[in-house]
Amino acid sequence: MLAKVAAFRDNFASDAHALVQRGILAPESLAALKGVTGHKNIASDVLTLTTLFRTNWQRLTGRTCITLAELDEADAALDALITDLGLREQTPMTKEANAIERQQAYTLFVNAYDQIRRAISFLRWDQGDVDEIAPSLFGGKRRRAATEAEPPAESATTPAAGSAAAAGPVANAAVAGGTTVANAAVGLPGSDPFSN
Amino acid sequence: MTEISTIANATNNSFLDALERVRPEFANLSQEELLPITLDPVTAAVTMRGALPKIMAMRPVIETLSNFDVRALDKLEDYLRA
Repeated sequence: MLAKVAAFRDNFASDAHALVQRGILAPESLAALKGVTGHKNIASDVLTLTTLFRTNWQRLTGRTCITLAELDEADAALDALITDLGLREQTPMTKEANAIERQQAYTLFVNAYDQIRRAISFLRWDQGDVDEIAPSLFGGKRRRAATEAEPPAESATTPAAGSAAAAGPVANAAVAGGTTVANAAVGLPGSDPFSN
Repeated sequence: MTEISTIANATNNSFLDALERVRPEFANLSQEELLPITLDPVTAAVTMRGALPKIMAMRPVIETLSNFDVRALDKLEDYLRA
């Protein structure tokens, strides 16, 4: 509906400016126009312009492409737009409330999917194929974040047998010169000099 | 055009219906429990839809888990649509 009313505004404003240019309408008659920014401004301009054309209709007949039928149509569209705007403003659901509901639905969805992954992980522990059945929604982002959050001191301690740290220095986070370099490949700065 | 509009309306209605079904559960979530939205909804939908047949195939086994609330499985689609 806004697009329709905006189209009327463009046509009417264009004709009105031409009529002012030709001295048929007074320049100050367009002073009340508010511009095309915002629904209410567009609606206000259409109301101003239709009133202007109707008031001066006797003088404008034969000098403009606008018809009375078009003015009637614009009034009807304007009425519908104003009703829409009014209803929208009175709707209790604000943008903020919408955002919160979206976050609530998102939380329920992620938690439910997480529970399902846990159940499948438990049931398929031996097969280890939970990611094939129910892949992580985060594509491993969470796991990486958890790894990065580990304090460097922990990686310097003696790793338990079978842990990732026991797999070799390439898998470790090396601490060199006070700077932690995670997963530095062999031969690169920060890698363990004693690797095979 | 009319057909497209009808489909769009039907889709909107199904989303709104899902939201109405899920809305009562929103009250059970505290502000602290809300997760920041870090996923693209379409990506999440694609992942979930792709996995759903395999997950549903496991439903009879999942139901045997005493600590698992199988409603999570049934409501997954509604949560996604909401």
